[in-house]
Amino acid sequence: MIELEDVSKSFGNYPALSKVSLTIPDHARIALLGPSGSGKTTLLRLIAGLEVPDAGTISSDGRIISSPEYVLPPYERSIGFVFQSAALWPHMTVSDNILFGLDHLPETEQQQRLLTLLERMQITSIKDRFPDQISGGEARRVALARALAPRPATLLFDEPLTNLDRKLRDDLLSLISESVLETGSTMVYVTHDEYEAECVADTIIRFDKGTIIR
Amino acid sequence: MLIQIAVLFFGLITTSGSWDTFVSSVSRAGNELQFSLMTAVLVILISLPLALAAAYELKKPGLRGTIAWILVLVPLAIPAPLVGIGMVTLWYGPLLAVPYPGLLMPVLVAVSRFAPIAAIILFVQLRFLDPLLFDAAAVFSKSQVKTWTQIRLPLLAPGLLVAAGILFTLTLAELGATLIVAPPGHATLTMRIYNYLHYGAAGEVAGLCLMITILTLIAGTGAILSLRWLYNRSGTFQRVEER
Repeated sequence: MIELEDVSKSFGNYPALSKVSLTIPDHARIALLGPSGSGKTTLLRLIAGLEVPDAGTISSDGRIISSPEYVLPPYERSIGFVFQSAALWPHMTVSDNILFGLDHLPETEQQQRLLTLLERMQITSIKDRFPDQISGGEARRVALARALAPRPATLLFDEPLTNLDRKLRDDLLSLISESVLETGSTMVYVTHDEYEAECVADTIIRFDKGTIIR
Repeated sequence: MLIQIAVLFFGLITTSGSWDTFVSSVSRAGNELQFSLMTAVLVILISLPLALAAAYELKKPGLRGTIAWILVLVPLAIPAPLVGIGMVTLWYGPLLAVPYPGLLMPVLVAVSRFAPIAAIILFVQLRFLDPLLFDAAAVFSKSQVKTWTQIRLPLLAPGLLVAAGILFTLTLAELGATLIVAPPGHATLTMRIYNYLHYGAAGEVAGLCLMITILTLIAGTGAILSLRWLYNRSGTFQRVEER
């Protein structure tokens, strides 16, 4: 369970989050819904450990993982993150991108997971291509595979379907929902699109001006 | 640009006389050539890590970034002889008055003069990279060494290559400060050229200038070929061809 208690974060004079308290139970599928600049991405980055809170604490299973004085590094949080721009490393092939977070596993286990994910995401045919050589939809599938590969306890999605057409978005929404259900991971999905939020989440939390409004 | 290079080459070849004259002028400057190359390589090795650290500071917002920009830009505004005089004054002061190896001072002046340029090149490279690529590395990598060797350095490789090429070229051509700080018995190619100029040895001067031009072109070609290899490896060129 992830608990946020009075978490605040500012960038210069701009308050991005103001005293946000939130409990995310294990296996929950939560969507953070709000307009651009409402602070939802900042909240996601704080959960991931990519930002340091100015005030308040974030705990995981009772252990403080973020406070103004201490931040547990992201890789020690058992999280998978799907970024808005896919953020695939351009000098690595699709396979290498997916395998990157698996080096703690034996080689056979790595290959097994890779093959399973390539098949599950229907990207086997592009496994040796570089990110420059694949489409936007394929890139999102690879990003999802990379996030799922280490089998994280929590999956974080930051507007992963931005700039995709309706058909592609619907396909990927189904894929995300099914993948999250299969893995049983806790999911936090940030979006400004109500339709996306309803498709993937069982709880929708509305955000505006750095606070939870509903 | 090709015409410019061709005119330069033709002029230098004509002035340097025969192939034998060129070879003899270069072979007589063997020590200086070696000293110059060692200086350039050391300047690259020392400057790149410093420049990379500075480039990250330049990216920071607020006062910290502003101070970094001032620290990077001010050395560029100081004339070369003044850098040399400053270095000599500093090194012969009471705190640092110890013996030092012959390469140290020429390397230090070149680092202080040219590392800021490398920092600006790497800053531009960093600005072009999606910061989420580094965030992704932080999320998926358990090891800082792995993050640096497999993500950060490959992503920064084009900037590092360009910066190394420019550092090499500028160091090879440095004279204003090196002339002041080079210890007795040590000289760079440009210092030898400068000395020859006093005696009107046009053929020797042209031969050595040709040598510097060739070395610069080799460094430039090496950097360009490495960049092409990097882009080929990541598929960028293939994609352009497919279109």
